[in-house]
Formats: sequence, structure tokens, C-alpha cells
Amino acid sequence: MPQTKVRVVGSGFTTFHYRGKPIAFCEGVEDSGQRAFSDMGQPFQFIHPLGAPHPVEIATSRVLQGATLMLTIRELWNAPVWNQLAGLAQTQNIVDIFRALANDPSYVTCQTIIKPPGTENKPRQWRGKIYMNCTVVDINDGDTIQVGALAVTKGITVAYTHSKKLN
Amino acid sequence: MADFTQYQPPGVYVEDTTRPLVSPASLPGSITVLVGPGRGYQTRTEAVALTDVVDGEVRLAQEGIFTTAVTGPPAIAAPVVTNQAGDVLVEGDDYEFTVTGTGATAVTDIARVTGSTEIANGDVVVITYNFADSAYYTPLVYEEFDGIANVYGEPFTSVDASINSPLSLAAKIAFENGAGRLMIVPTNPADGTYQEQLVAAYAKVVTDYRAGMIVPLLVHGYTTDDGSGDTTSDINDGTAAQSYILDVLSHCNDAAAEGFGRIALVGLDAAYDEVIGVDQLAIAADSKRIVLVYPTKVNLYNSTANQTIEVSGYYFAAALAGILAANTVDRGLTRQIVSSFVSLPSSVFQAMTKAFKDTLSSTGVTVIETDRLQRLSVRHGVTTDVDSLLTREISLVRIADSLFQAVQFGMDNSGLIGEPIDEEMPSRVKGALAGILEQAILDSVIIGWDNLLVRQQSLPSGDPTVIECKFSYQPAVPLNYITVQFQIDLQTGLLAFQDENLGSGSEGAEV
Repeated sequence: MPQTKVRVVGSGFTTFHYRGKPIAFCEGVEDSGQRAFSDMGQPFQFIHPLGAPHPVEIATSRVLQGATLMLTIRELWNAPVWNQLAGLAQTQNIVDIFRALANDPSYVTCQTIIKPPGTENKPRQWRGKIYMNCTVVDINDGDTIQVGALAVTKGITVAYTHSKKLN
Repeated sequence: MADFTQYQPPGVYVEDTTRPLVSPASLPGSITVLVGPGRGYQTRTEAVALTDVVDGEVRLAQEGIFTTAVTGPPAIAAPVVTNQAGDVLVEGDDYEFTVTGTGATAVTDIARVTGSTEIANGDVVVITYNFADSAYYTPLVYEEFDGIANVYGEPFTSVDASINSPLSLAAKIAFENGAGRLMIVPTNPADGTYQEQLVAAYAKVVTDYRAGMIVPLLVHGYTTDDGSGDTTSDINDGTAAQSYILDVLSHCNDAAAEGFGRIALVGLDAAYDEVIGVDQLAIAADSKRIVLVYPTKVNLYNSTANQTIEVSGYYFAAALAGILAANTVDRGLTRQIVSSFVSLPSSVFQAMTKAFKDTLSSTGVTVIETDRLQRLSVRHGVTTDVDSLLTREISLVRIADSLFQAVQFGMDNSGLIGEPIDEEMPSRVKGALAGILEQAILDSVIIGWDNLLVRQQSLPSGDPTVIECKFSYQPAVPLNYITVQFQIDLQTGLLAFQDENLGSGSEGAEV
């Protein structure tokens, strides 16, 4: 069967690393992507002089705003979900996380690697993103307990300043 | 790159492959290290109950107590013991010391001399003594001047204009010029001659990654009485100065070989005779890690004595180190304004013709001159290796050192060493390295990077436990020259006017 042309997102074709290491039981990553930045809300503005029947041009922003990665991780018996991130094993809460990250002399990088079918042994053909200066900014520190509930996933929000292409 | 045909311990191996044309460069180790003589002691006062020897001696709290006066320099006074009436007691008549051990680890006991007429057995006395324990000579980091003055003495004596502690004065000047933190390494007279003391002090920081710059205080005539017979250090002639400079160069090279790149800023004593010119010293040093500063003397206002005194060139070196520490690593010394000093001595100022300064700068001497606004300004911040741009400019040398340390430390800290190599490991290594390089951009170490390539070695020619990384970087090259050409345009400014009083038909005058 020939390979599809369209990207299959799951099925092991896309992997994610936090600080060079995969996150155990991480089930999903949602990259908000970087949008053009503007203090007007929308990163563009119609220029419409009086008397003109329609806008004469559109002004656009040329700078990117930061973005976030939303990680969805299955909680394990022995530790809260953020303890599975490299360097955060001993942290108890979000302030602990801030402190741990501030004490680390190196900024954290994350990576998304997209491996098209048939390129498993050809890293040069992979593509993806390297997320720079990543900081955990929010964690789901709450809990909902119900009789009959099974496994639970919890979210971690990681902000980053910019990204680079993997290859 | 490390030879992996032989065993190498697991770790990160970094190599700077910069070639003559600028393509890559550096992160920071920006604490300035000052090495030299301080006051030589700390002072402590204790109240103890003196008893006769037979009743037991009293051990004083500190180690390394000077129980007798030291001629010096540094001159150190003997302990002063007073009774409760305030009368000064006499050693031998009223009390006696017993010293166990030698040098900085010696412990001192005190006891009453049986038969003393000034104190009775068991009387409380107050003893003020000077000491220098082993901690005194260890490198310590300070963030404010008062702490340094407390330990190493006030810069000037309170009785005249003389310098009490060269180390404290250099620290004060470095702080005034922008240093945020200083590492102080006092020389220990027990290490031998002053030159030997300096070498011993260098060794204490050779593997300290924080030390980005080192300033040795080449104090002339600094006497040490260590019993070796060689009691005076002569740094007032070229041969001796060259020997001292080569010592600190050797230290910098050793540190760089260990992965702790640093530069030394060297100034000479005011007594330097200049029979061998400073330019010749620079030619002899010929290293990107040595910054040789001229002039050898400068006027400084001494607030204690309310007068201007002449101090040595190594205080200039401390000032320049402070300036470098205050700036990002991509900023060199050229055209930086030096604070703390009043002016150059007139004899020096008059000798600094353009030709003379050109000779010094072209051979690798960093010259400080008086500019048109009467400020002391660095003419051209150069190292003593002027052969190429990459070795001549202080900023480029520091950039390369900083990037080297950033990559070395960052990759080591990434937690990847020791991890199993899977198919994604090269990409993970690449991501970690890219993060470090992006941070180097934010830290103003470099302005860009490119061509980041990562590959795993494979058998049979390679070692599969090795992942090779290569990249190129772009450093910020300093702007040294602006050329402007202009010429006279005789066609501009042509004006013609008509004088109304001349009536019609008269000709206007051309201006």
C-alpha cells in the first residue's frame, strides 16, 4: 500500500521531548503556535481614509508573540504529572517549579520531531521545531475524585519565546 | 577533537575550530580576580582569664596569630595585652605565648608569667592580636568594598598618603569602574618570594570557571622575609617584569587548556625603569590572553590625606577589568572611559606623542590617554597578540572563551551524557545545542549561528558512542574605524543681489 501524502499526526510519527527527554505517559501536545503580536488585539489594521470607498491598505505587525505548549499527561500512582518533566522531580507546586527553573543555569528547550513514514533511519529527512527558553507557567494541581473514574490526565502549560526549525 | 581511537571518559568534548576569517565565537566567566598583597592580617580582640602555666594555658580563638612584630611589608604589629586598668603588659614579664605549629595553621596559647606584678593569677586581660589563618589566603568573592576593606585593610594608611593595602585599593578602583563582584586572592608571604607568592596564588584559581579575568598586582619592592634569603621582589626592570608576565601567561594558558578560558590584565609598577620599553614586553608576551596596560603611573586622589598621589599602572589594569566586567563580553575596551583617577603625571603626558602611542598600540599595548575632554580614555583595547583580528581584539578573545564555556557547561548540564542513544538522540543533542546558542545570542555573546550539524559516528572507522556537533557562529566585531572623505565644492554658496539704490541698469555685486 502506498504511503499517504498527508501527515498522520499520531501513530508514532510525531514525538515530543522536554529537555532532551521524552515525557512518560504524555498523551498529547498542543502547540498554540506563535501569532503576530499587536497591542491592538488583531495583528493587522485596515487603513481607511475618509472619502475612500474601501480600505486602501492593511498594516501588519512584524513581530511574533510568545506561545504555549499544552501537555496532557496521564497521572501515575507515585507522583504528580509535572514530576515526570526532567529537572522537576522534587517540586511540589507551581512556585516550586518556578524556583527550580530559576535556579537552573540553562534554559529548557523542547522539541517536536515529525518523522514521515519510511524515514525512521534518516534523521536528515525529519522536520520539526525546537522550542526555545521554555518555562512551565501553569500546572493542573487540582483533583476530581469520583467513584468509577479510571485513569486521569492532567495538563501542564509550557510557555516559550520562539522556535527554530529542526532541520 | 578528542582522539576516540583511544579511551576517553564519557563527557562533552568541545573544540573551537575558528580560522582566520571570522565565522564563529563565546559565554561568560566574568568575575575579576585580583591577586596581590593585602594588609596581611586581620585583627581580633579577646578577653581571657590568665593563669599560670601550671594552672593551664588559655588557647586563643584564631589560628595563625602573629605573636611578634613583623617588619614586612606588610608590617604587622605584635599583640597588645592590657589589664583591666588599661595598663599595657609586657611579654616575658607578665605573660608568655606558646605557639604550636607554624604559619597560618599555628595555634597560640597564652599564660601568666609566675611572679608578674601587674596581674594576679586568674585576672582577666584584654588581648588584641593580628592573625592570618589559612582561610585568609583562600580565594573569596566579594560584592561590596567594605567587606574587602575589613579583611584586607583600608587602601591607605590613616597617618600619611601611603598605600596600606594594594589589594584593597585595586578592589576599590575595580568596583568604581563597574565590577559587580570580585574574587580576592591575597598573596601569602609563607609561599616564598613575591613572585613565588603570585604563582601560588594563581594556582588557587586555575580551575575556577568563574574567573574570567585576572589582575596580578606587580608591586615592586615587596619584601618577604621567609628565611630563604631572597627577600625583595624587583619588578622595576624589564627582565623581571617579563618573568612575572610569563608567569601569569602560563597560568592563563593552563586554565584555558582545562577549559577555563581567561585573560590577564597586567599593569606595571610606577618604579618601572622603561630601559626595556613596554612595547618590547608586549612583543615578548605575544599572547591573546595578556593585556598589557600603559602608562605605568597615574595620579590618584587620596581622600584620606586630601592630596593627589602617584600610583602604579596595575591600578589601571584593575580599572579596565572592572570596565570589562560591567559590560557584555562583546564590548571591548576601545574608547572606554576610565574612572577613579585624576590625570596622568605630566612627565608621562608629555611623552605620549602620537608616534609613541602608535608604537605601543601596534605592538600590543593597551594605552590609556587623555582625550580632548581631559578624560582618561582607552586608545585601543588590544591584546599582546596583534597578528590577527581574532587574537588582537579583547572582545573577540572573550567571546570565544565565553562561547566555549557556554557550550561545555550547557551540554554537560543537559543530562544527555550517559543516556542510551536511540534514533532520536542526534536530534535531541541538536536541540540542546541550539538552545545554548540561542541563549548566547540573548546574552550578547554572539550575534548569530548557522550550519548546526549533528551526526553519530559509526563503526568501523568511528566510535558509535560519539555524537559529533559542528556549527559556525558570528561574533560582534568591534567598530574601530570610521573613514570620512570630504572636499570643497566651489560651486556652492554663490549669491547675487541687486542694490536698489543703484537704479536700473546698474550691475549687482557678486559675493
